[in-house]
Amino acid sequence: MDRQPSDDALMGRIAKGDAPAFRLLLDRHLAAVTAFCHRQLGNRSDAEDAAQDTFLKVWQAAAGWKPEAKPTSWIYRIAVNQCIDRHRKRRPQTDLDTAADLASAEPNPEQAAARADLDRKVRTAMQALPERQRLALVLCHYQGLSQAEAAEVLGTGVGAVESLLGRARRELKKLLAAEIAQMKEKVA
Amino acid sequence: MNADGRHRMVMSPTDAPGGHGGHRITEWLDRWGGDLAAWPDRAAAGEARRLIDRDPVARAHWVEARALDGLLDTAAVPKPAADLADRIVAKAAATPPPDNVVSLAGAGRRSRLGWPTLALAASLVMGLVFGIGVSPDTLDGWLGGTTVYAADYLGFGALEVAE
Repeated sequence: MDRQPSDDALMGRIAKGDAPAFRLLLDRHLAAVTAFCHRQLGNRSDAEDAAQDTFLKVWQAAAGWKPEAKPTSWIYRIAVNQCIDRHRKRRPQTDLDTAADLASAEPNPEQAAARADLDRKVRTAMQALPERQRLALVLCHYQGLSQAEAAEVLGTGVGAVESLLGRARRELKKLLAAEIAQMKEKVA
Repeated sequence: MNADGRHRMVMSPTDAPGGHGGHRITEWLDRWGGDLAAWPDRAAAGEARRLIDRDPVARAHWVEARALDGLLDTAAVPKPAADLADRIVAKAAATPPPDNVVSLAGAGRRSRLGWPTLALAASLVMGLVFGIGVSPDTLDGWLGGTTVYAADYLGFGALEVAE
């Protein structure tokens, strides 16, 4: 059986300048990190720039990675900093084309329009959240990190992450009240 | 406190059906979302399941949380551009990894900082040699009696600083 090297093993090799190991790590995590940046920054162009800079930082700073830290947590931490830097430089705009692009996959034009509209509302609501709340929600809900992992990424405690998640969900329930009411019918 | 170091919320009598169970479960659902199977606190998930089954208020809160989760899941993001990985690899190839960066930077520093450092060291050595080992008369002899002492030059001619 062909065993793939672990992220830890790849990081060790990258620290020594092993380009194929870097490519492997990139193939493994680029899509997730770009998605994370997209949800943070709200548009594809900034997200790809942030993901690129995140992985270039990984390449350059791999020697500084300590095996006690999970590589993905370390990578997300770099990505978080990249997103925060970009967010502070300019107020990111939600990329409205993305919603339309994704919805265009729907066969029915009406459904496609409704899907694009809903997508836009959700992403606008996400962008309205305070930065730390959005970070916690994206890491836990979309990236699938545990609260403990998200706490490591954000440099805080599990309790603080849970508090951020609680506030984020409460705010989203207010911002998306009408959409939630519609969605309840499907869920129930 | 449970194994994760969290203070687990224990149901009180007011959490009974028809009581204030809705408040308790809302707090849990806000923290951990509507997917009970994904909750980090298994005991809390079990308690929540029992509350949802017997308390309509708790159930309504759970349905609302599931609806929010569903809404969040509708907001998909596109895959990155197909050539993004290639672009990153190309940029990384043009950027040396840390070991090389350190050695290159070190070499750069030597070439940039070497001259001033050496010149300073040389001037200190020269100053000590002339200050200790060569008398002013000897120096005058070498320079044909044209020595200008620093004190004279600065207008402190009366001070005998060049002895």
